[in-house]
Parts: sequence; structure tokens; C-alpha cells
Amino acid sequence: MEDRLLVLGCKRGNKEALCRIYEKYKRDLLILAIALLNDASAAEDVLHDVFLSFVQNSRKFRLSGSLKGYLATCVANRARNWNRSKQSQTVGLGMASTICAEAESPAESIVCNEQLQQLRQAMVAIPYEQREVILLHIRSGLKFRAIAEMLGVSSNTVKSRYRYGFNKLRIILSEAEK
Amino acid sequence: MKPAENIKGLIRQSDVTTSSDSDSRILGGALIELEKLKTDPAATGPNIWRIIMKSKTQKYITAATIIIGITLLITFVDKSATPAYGITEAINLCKTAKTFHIHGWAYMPIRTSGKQETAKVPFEHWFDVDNGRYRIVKPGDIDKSTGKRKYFTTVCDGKYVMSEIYKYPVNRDPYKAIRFQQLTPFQNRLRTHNNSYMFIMQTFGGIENIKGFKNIGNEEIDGLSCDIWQGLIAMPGPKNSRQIRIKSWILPDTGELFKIQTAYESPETNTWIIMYEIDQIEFDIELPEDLFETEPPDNCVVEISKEEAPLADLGFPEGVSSSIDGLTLRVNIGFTLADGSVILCWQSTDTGASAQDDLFTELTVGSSLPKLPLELYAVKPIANVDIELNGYHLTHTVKDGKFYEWSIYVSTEDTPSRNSIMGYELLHKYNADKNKIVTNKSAALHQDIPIKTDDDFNNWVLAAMAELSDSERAPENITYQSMLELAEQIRKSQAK
Repeated sequence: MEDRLLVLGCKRGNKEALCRIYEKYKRDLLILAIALLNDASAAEDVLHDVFLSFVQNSRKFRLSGSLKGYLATCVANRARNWNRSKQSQTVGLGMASTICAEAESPAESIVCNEQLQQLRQAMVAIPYEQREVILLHIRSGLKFRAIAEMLGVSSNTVKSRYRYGFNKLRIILSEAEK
Repeated sequence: MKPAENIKGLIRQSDVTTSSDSDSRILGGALIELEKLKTDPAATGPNIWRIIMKSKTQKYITAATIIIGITLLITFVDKSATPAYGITEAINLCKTAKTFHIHGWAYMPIRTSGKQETAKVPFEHWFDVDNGRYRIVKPGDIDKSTGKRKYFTTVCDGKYVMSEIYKYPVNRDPYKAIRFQQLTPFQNRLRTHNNSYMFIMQTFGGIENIKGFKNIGNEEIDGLSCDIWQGLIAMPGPKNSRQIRIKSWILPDTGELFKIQTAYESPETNTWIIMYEIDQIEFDIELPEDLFETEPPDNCVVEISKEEAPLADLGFPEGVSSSIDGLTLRVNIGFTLADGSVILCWQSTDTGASAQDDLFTELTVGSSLPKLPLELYAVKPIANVDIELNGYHLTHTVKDGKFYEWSIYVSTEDTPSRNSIMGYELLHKYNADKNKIVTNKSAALHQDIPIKTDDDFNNWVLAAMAELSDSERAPENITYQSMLELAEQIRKSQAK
């Protein structure tokens, strides 16, 4: 209900509504974009374009599902296009400020940071298509069917990408721990 | 190995912090745009609470519009530009849409007082793809008895197709008659696909591989600036003498499609004559259930009821030749593969002749075609090219005593892309007694299905083979990859 009200607020030019949407979802969307692009600066550009386009099309926009899912889809699409046009293979430094949100002690923060660093490197090592599916499913909460529809592939393909990508992550991270 | 739950937890735990600078950078543009929206009177909507209450019972929800035109942007704009939406999303929106709504205008010639004029008349299509339901309203000619235009409504409820025809009996007032036809699940799926997705593909001249389209200018529609993209599809004949022109009005930032116009070139006047315009296409909207009801209207006479409804035939109505004795050639279904080769299912009968079993016994995959009464030996793309694709036997199926030949047509030369041609001319020769031929006419195939993937092949080619087989199964060892390999082998052997 809140999302519906916020969308309606945006349609009427309500700045607070737009800011609320941004604050509510920026973290998830930015993490998704950074993880897909490996470039914090490019991730910010993608988010800028997503929110700009959201406002430009707000008049005709009708919320029929999850607003978070919709925005995550937009981010993933733009990230994919960005990757294709730039063919970037750079390893990003944008996660330098990453912190572990749920750490309760300095020791856990340190361990968490190292693990997250390893995760970031492992993510880079797996194919883009697998990384995309993993992030959209785990981070953005999209179901496989929704991801399949978004990517224009079958659900089985999505599940395969997820399975293979995840297995690779497990192997890479296990090797890193040794 | 690291437990899966640990990894999922890490992915969920990862976080970022943003500074107020980065927040401003990210949201700045959107906030400026929002200010413009706020000061635009058109942006003021009705009371929020009324909208919320209404949305719970709202029947029509427009969820998306076409962004097909983005492929045009991909083809022709600076490659470093980032498109507004995902490329694959634009194409797959058409392929994966669950519902369609299309509204447009047909430009129909009328003759009044000896003058040739054009009437702009509406047409409208609705499709519920998942359930195989559709409703098509097409304009017809002027009814001379009433002076009003005729409209033909065809409704499919997923199993029955209800069609209208106008009847003009002698010594009776004209009336509208209803006929029912029954569809198998495959036929229903095929018709829905052809009338929705394929209709749009053909209207645009093909989404996935539009070549030759150019940005010819800009026009404002509904206060929004649209780019105009134009492409030409050649018709057979002297070079550039006959063409179909397709124009698309597209919002450059989002790829939203506002209008499509199709025109043909008049050979007499050398001017462009508009055939039709589509001014509304919606995907994945909620359609009212009563759109697909197949209860005959009260003012119609039911000629063929549901109970009497015959099973529809899989095939195109045109044949090649007919004689008093019923010599025919008929194409049932056709497919164009990604490499340009064509698979056709066809049959040829000669009433009174013996059964056709013997004609297929010696044949193997890639061998010559069966000597049916009329032989579809090659196909030719309908375009300004002189290329023939020669036919080879693939397999045959039998259903209800009828023999269906499945052939593959291959050329050694590069064939035009499917999206740039009007279809295929069907080249045939006679193995039957030519004296049986009373009339002769050419035949063409325009409604083949493009096959790009294994899934496409399984869903359409193998399903069609099963449909036309008593065993309800496709022949063994026929896959998309094996067909592409066979075509390649044939090309190499033809080239020697």
C-alpha cells in the first residue's frame, strides 16, 4: 500500500514521495548495480538513469507488482546494456566503503569485511549471466519465473544459471578460505 | 565446500553507504524532472483515495507499452549510447506477453460518384495468449443494402471459433450468419500466435533484424517529441518499382511506440497509399472476460452450431491447381530457420488415384522429394532477388489416411533475411497427367513461423509433426541442430 501511495505521489510531482522511494530502495538497487557492473561510479549512473526514467514515465506507470522488483529489473536491464556497450572487465574499487550491516562486534565486522571482499572477487569470477540471476534472486527477491520473463529465457535456464553460478561461488569461496 | 546458506547470508548482508553528494548526484536529475511534472497541469490527477478505492475493482490496467522500437535505436544510433531499456526486453516483451490489445485504422478505398476516395475505418484485436483466446474485429466493404460498413467479428474461446458472415438471400432480407469451428489445442495455439505475435512482427517488417530503417525526422504527438523511423520492403518486379513502406513513431528516450503506418507504392501514380495505421498496442493488460464469449448475438442466424462444429484443418486455404477430378497441392504449415532454410509440410492429392504409401518407401532424410501428383520442388523468396531454395525430403507423417510430406528447402547462396521479404513463392511441377489441369495459378506462403532456437523448433515444428500424425508423436531424430547440420551438408554438396 505504501508503494502505491508513493507512486501516486510521484505522479503528482511530490518530491517527498520520490525521495522516500529512493531512500527505501537505494541500498538494494545500488548493491545490485555495483555487483553487476563492478564499478561504483557506473552503478550511480545507472541508478540516476533509472530514477530519471521512472519520473519521466510516471504519468503512465501502473504499479501491478512489487515496486522494488520493478526498479531492480530496470537496474539489471541498464546494467546489462552498459556492460555490452562498454565491455568493461575492470575490477571495481567501489566496495571500499562496504560495511557489514548486521555485525555486532568489531571482530565480526573484520571477518565480515574479508568475507565480503572474497564474495565480491568470487562474483567477478563467475559469468555475468549467472551473477545477474543470483543477485536478482537473492538480493532483489525476484522469483525465478519473474527473472525468466525479464531475461526472455525459460525458467529452467534461469535455474541452471543460478545453480551453476552458485556452485562456482561455493568452490571459489572454499578455495579462498584454505 | 562453503554451505549455501552462508553464501546467501553474505549476499544479503552486503551493504553500501552513500554520501549526500552521491544521493544528490543520483536523484538530482529525477527531482528536476519531477518539478516539471508538478507544474504541468496535465499531471494533476484525480483524488488519491478515489484511485486507491477504484484500483481494487479496476478491470483495465495498462501495465506496459511497446518498446519494440528500441531495436531500431540499437541498429542505427551511436553504438556508445546506452539505450533506455534492455535490448532483449524490447524483443521478448512481444514474445512473452500474456495479453495483447491492438487498435488501428485501415484505409479502405471507396468509390462515390465515380471518384476514388479513402475511408479510414477502425480495426481492433484482443488476445489472451495463455488461454488461446482472441477477438478480432475487421472492417469490410460497404453493405449495399444498408449503405453502412460491414464489420466481421471473430471470437475464439480457446476451443471454438465463432465467425460471422453476411448473407444476401433472394427474396429475403440480408442477415448475419454465425459459423462455429473447433480447434485442436495445437491449432488454437498456432492461431493465437499467428494473429498476435506474428501479426506484430509482420507489421513492423520484423523486430529482430530490421535493416535499412532510417531516422527520417521528428514529429510531436500528444506533446511528446517522436523520432520517425522508416523502412522499405521490396516486392517482386522491376527493381524498386514496388515496395511496402513501414514508418514507426518512437519516443527516443524510452523506445515507446506511438504509431505505425504501412503504405504501398501505387504503380499508376508513383505515390504512397496508406494501407493501415496502428495507433495503440498494449501488452499484458487485464482483459474483460466477456470479450471472449462465444454466445451468438441475438440478431444472427446460427448456420453451424458448436455441436455441429467441424474440426479446423491445419493449412492455408490457397492451393495451386484444381481440376474436376480434384488435383491439388496444399501447404499446411511452414517454418524459416535461422540459417534461411525453410521447412514446409505439404500434401498433394489426385482424387481417384491409389494410396500414396509407395511414394515414400524409398525415401531417406536429404533424398529427393516424393513423386506426388504435384511436386513442390523449390521455394523462392518474394523480393527483388533471384534465388531458389531447392527441396529435399525430410520425413513424412500420416493422419486419417492423408499423407503429409515434410521437406527442407536450402540454397547455396545467401538468402535474404526473413524480415526483409514478403514470404515465398511455391514452385511446383506436375507428376500427374497435365490434361487433368483445368486452371493453373501460382501459390505463395506468407505466414511461416521463424525458428530461432531449439525451443522454437520443439514448440512449433515437432508439435506440428505430432499434430499431423496418427501416433501424435513427431518422427525420431529430428531436432533443430540436426536440421541446421543437414542444411549445411546440402549446401556443401550443392556447391561442389
